[in-house]
Amino acid sequence: MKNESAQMNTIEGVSAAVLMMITLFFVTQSSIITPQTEMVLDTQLKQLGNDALRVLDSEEITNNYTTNNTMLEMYVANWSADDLDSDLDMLLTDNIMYNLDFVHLETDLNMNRSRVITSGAPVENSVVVSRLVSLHSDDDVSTRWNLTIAPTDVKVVDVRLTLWYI
Amino acid sequence: MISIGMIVLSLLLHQAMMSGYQSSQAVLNFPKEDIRELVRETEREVKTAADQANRAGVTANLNKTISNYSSSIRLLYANHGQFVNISVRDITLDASNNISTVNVSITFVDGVTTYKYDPMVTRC
Repeated sequence: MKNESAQMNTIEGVSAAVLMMITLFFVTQSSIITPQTEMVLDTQLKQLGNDALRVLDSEEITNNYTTNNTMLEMYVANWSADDLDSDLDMLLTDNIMYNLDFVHLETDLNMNRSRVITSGAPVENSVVVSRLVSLHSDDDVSTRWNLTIAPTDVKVVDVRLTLWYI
Repeated sequence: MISIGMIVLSLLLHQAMMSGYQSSQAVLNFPKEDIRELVRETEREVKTAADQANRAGVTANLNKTISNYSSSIRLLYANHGQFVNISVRDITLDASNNISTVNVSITFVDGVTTYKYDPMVTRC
């Protein structure tokens, strides 16, 4: 009788230890394999970038009453890097850094990428958002574009914003 | 009992974390903004091209402008690894022979998502 009780106690002890080990394994595993926070941050950063470009390209928010061009269209056409930088700085929080490029096709269909705003070298987890802007023959296009636009032609510029957290 | 409870809780926690991870990844992977931007810019471009064609009195100019726009957009999106095609389906004229409605077909493919907007009716 005495021996049977000791046996039961040993089995119970071993089972409890195994159960605790399994629990510990599940708990540690679930917190290690989920790099979820990083993904959420990337999604949020992408959303913030898209929102900033959307606000600048909104037809409701324009400081030009003579044409229907949005602020982004005017900044791109006039190559106003400083104005664009100042507005983006206002729309994005201080812990976000960004670079901005204008990507467009040359007449020989080569892709031309011009860095317009440089804040530094993007880190590994940076995200890229973009917005299209079309330039027409009747737009007041800066000479920096070095473009001749025919009446039936259109120059599409891909405004690419690269963002990362500091 | 406490250990079993902890296992169940840790499994639930794991499930919640994984669903958060997967939904974040789905948001990042789905090209929602690319498609929205393509449709918005195309609609804007059709209106501008129709306005220019009406002012010049040459309806065919709209087809030329949209064809040039489509070529540029195709190459720019190809640079992102995406295929895009935009074409004019038909044009409706009003009593003064001005363009009143343009039907455009938009196709977007990025290898995973295929999106087709046909016809996109634009009133000019």
